[in-house]
Amino acid sequence: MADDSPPTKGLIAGRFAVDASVSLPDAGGGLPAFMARDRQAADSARVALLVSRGHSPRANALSALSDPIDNLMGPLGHGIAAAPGGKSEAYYIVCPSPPGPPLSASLRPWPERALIDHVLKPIARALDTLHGHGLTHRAIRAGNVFQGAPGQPVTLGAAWSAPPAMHQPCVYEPPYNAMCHPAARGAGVVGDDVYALGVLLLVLAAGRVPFAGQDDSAVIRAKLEVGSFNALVRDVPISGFMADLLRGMLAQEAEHRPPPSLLLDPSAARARRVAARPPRRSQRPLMIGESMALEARTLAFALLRDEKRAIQALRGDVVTTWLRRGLGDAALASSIEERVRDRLAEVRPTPRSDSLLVMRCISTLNPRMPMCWRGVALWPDGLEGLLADSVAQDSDLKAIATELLLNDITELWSSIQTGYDAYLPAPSREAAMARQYLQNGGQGALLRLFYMQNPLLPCRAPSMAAIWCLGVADAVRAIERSAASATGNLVDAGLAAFVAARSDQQTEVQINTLLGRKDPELFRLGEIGLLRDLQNRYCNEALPNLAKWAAARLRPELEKWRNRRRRAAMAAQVAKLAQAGFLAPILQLVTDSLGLNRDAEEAERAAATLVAIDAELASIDGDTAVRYAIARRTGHAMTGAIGLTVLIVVVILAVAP
Amino acid sequence: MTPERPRSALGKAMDMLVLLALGLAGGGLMALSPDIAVPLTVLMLPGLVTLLLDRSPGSALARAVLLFEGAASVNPIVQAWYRCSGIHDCMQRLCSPTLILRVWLAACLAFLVAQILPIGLKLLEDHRLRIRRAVLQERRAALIEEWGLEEADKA
Repeated sequence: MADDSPPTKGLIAGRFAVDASVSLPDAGGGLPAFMARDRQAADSARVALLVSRGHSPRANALSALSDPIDNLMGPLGHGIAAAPGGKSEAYYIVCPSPPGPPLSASLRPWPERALIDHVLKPIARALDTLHGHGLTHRAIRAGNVFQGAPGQPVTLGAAWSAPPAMHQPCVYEPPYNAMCHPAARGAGVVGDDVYALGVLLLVLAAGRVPFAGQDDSAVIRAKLEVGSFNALVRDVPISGFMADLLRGMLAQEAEHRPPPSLLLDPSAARARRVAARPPRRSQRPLMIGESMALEARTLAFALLRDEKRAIQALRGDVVTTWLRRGLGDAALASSIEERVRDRLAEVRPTPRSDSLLVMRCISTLNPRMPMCWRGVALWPDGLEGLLADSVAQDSDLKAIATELLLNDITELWSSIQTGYDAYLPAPSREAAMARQYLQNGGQGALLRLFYMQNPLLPCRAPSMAAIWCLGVADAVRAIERSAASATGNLVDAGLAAFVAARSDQQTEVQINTLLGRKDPELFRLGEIGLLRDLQNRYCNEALPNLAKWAAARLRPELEKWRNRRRRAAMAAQVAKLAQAGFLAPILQLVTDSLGLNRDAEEAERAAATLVAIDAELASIDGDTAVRYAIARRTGHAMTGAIGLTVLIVVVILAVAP
Repeated sequence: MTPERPRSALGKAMDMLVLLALGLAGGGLMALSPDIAVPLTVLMLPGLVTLLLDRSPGSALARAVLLFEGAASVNPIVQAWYRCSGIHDCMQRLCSPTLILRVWLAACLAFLVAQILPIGLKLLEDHRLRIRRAVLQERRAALIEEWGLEEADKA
């Protein structure tokens, strides 16, 4: 049963214990797999598939598959446990144990009956159930299909710990998927699984893998030139029944392949035939770089492979001339000519103009082609996988992913590519906001989009390299650990991107404001305010290291208080609050604006008083002469007053009767 | 001694008025009763001289001397007014050495008081200011200690 509850550490889904010391190299279909035990089951052996830090597991499949499916290693639970080596954490997807070794372990020609009964039907049934859930498998290959014993139905391996079809060899994929970047093949459609199943049947019928040892381009070109069926079945002795069945399953167009429900009745599936028009071929090849094109499909592929020469060929009319004279397709040549003319008529060409021309021309030459941008092919729903891969590898792909997201190339491609709207996922509101943030030049916007679109991938901050941090609460706890030795900022662009992507809208707005602050002092205050809010909202527990760090960072704010006695008392109180581990009271105490205003007013009054005192002291020191003059005048006046008084008294006494 | 401030026009006018009033009073007395006026002039001589020499504002020193002399000579003048007749008799009665000495000593006393009283006042004021200064310095130190104003000024 899939686990919808928040992942817990230690036991996954509260019941699965992963033993990362016991590796099961064949159980993961090529991906790292380890022994796991179910604490609540008698038959407790399980397989835990390790998730890469750079490639997201299929979250939709993990949440949708709540019931076990026969002949499929569906997800039983997923969560965090100790990584191999035990020093860090890793994410695992727990699945039932495979019944036996993979079919690739001992490839041999299978009899037709066994293929139908033990391979085709069980897998078709599993695919049909998956299709009912709106899911595809996209990992059907000999190394990921298991059989307990001869005569038993095979079991389809797990396909949930990596992006769809990421680890599929080219031969198992339709050419339009195979040419895509491995992480950007998208979820695809059920027809893609039917195609892979057809290739698997062919491999088992032949007892070997076609095109073994050849590079991917050769496989794709062969499939494009002659069709997948013809390319794969060449030199493989199969019966007419199997040939008819595989012709349908390996049809170039997904809608021409029989659905899984039809494959349950192979005779009916065999009877389903959709005629595909053979492509028009030229007798004279056109070379685009090292790629040779004989018809429009391979020309589109050649344009994809060498964009620089593709631009030269398109702008130099080499392509249109070849289409018109070599291939004899005047309508197609006119369409390409029109595209090139539009490009040359652009008044203000941008750095993307030529790439857009190539993309449009490829879509015109072969409408089945995926989106092609600067030599990278992808399906629109694989863009998040491409983004994840580019961030994980820190490669040049990051620039391509950024360009695609910034300039709405996907939407542009969708508008010129008829019939592929189903591939274009509707963006969530949060994703749309993050994309808008990217287009506005926001700091760390690409990383934010990466975290938003890959909710099961951990924070990539160096301080969290040892843990699988999925949520804001875990991030805050990790910050608490790193705060013990930190002196500078704790929230950098990467961490901010993670928190913004995994938190609510209010926090996201707060982070946008914080990242927009250029003044270091404002940033410092905003950072502490953000951490306070994160503690309040997501992790309501004491964080003493973080509180001590904040107290130290708030010292300049404390210095703004002018009254020394008050300041000393506050510093003591802040130290006491820091020990308690909560940021809110510390910040409230230090940044009390009313108190600060009152303190400033009192300081101004004190300064004014000091100025008055100094002035009075100066007057005391400097006005000696004035004071003596005053004393003289006063003394003389008093002498006069005394004389006058005596005179009046004497006169009164003299004239009194 | 500090230099006297230059006298204002009003002060000079007041001095002139005092002189004029004294002149009128003297002239009037001389006209009405010359036998009293002449010995009185002798008795008031120090005050009149001081009045001419005094440069203090409003001739305060001269006023004080004249007032003291006036007070000392009121009784003899009153007695002479009723008992003597003729200038000779009045001169004998009012200009006796004893009376002149008493009146002129009163003038000296006025002069002395006018010199000593400012010094006393100055000493008193200095004492008051010393106390005030100590209070202010104590208050100033308290303010600086509490608000760190000196450091702020230096910064």
